[in-house]
Amino acid sequence: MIEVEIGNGRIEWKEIDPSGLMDPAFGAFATFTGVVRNLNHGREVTAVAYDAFVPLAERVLKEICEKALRNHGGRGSIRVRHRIGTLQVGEMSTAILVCTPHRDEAFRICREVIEELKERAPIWKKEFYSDGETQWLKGHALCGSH
Amino acid sequence: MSEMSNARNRIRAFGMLRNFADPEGYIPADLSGARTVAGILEILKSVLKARFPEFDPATLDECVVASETDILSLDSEVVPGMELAVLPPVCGG
Repeated sequence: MIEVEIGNGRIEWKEIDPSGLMDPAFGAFATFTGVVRNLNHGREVTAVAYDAFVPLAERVLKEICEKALRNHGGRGSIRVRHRIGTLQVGEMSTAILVCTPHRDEAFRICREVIEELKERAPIWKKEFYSDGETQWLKGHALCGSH
Repeated sequence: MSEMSNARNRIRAFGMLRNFADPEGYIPADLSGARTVAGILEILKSVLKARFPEFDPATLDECVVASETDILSLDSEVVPGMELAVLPPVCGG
């Protein structure tokens, strides 16, 4: 099972829960959560705004999850959530939940999904700094990814 | 002329390119002269440079054009009425 959701809704810590993903054959539950922090490259960050081309981003994230499952045993469930809109320091931007038969593939899938998300999903972030400036962060060009 | 060929293409902007879009998120440009994705990028370069002197056209060399389901290659044909998006380098997570 693969679930992907990109939206404005706040991701709560209590939602980092494998309900709906587990199976009697699964003995591992691994997670990655990305949280807005207050410092980046020496600048004090007060908030981060996320932008996404939602239909394509959700499609790309599903492809990333399918590939990660194939690469690591083929059995498991993955849920990916990503926020859009303006987030304050301490708010969760990303949550990746992975349930698999064993821990090794759960950790590997988690890592693969977040790294691929950063390089391939059409999502962008703009940082707001304490001095009033803002900046869209430079990322990975999608040229050559198709 | 068919209704389809009268349909205009519109292109949405994301990330840093939103700085050059209208309040609805579209780049105001007449794309009717473009037959391919490469043609669209060339039009955007000239339109944005004319409208925003601070805009660096090389920015678009790192961008791709996409539909809601796919990233399109430079030689992809543009179908009238297509909703498109121009995507700068990504930075999620």
